[in-house]
Amino acid sequence: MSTTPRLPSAVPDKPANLGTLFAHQPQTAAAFSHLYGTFWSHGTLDHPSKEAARLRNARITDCGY
Amino acid sequence: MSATEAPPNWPNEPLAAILVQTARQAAPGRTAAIVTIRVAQILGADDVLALHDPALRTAVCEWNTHPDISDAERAVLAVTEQFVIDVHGLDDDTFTALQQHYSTTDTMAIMVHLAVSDGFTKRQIMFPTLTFDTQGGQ
Repeated sequence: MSTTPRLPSAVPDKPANLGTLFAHQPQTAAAFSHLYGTFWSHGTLDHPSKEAARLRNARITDCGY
Repeated sequence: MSATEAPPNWPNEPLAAILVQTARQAAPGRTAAIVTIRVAQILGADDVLALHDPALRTAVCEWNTHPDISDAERAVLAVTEQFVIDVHGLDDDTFTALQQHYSTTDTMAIMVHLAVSDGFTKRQIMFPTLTFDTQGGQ
């Protein structure tokens, strides 16, 4: 698997990362950010449980991001 | 895996629906449909497949040789299969083939839709009683 982004940044002079790649699709980026922000700031699940799930997901998928 | 009821008052449902619909609409041509179908076929999400055109389902199932699948769509489906089965096995050649057919903007749209489709199809399998349309039947 590639360890560097396979697509170029959409933001001039900025390296390719999740944010600058998402800039290729600003409407989708906005929808994702709205959902993701709400997920972390609202809901009935406690924060430690959310973080534990996030870390476990990242470990299983070997996501260094 | 046993099916369970979706949690009541899931606060993110409308926002999730917006993300799913936005990602689907951004994907070029019928790529959203063929990605959704292939993800559902691999994961065994029969209720998702039931929302889609049977002829297209057959074409996607036989995507390597089916005449109704274009070379560009074959590149999409090759990435889709590897992404769902083992994302670490997605090599540069497979991804480069996708980029040869689509612009960077469209490639990004396809990949976002693929990731969203993979995630929400798995969630649909766990919680079949969804309150919003995640799968875009035709």
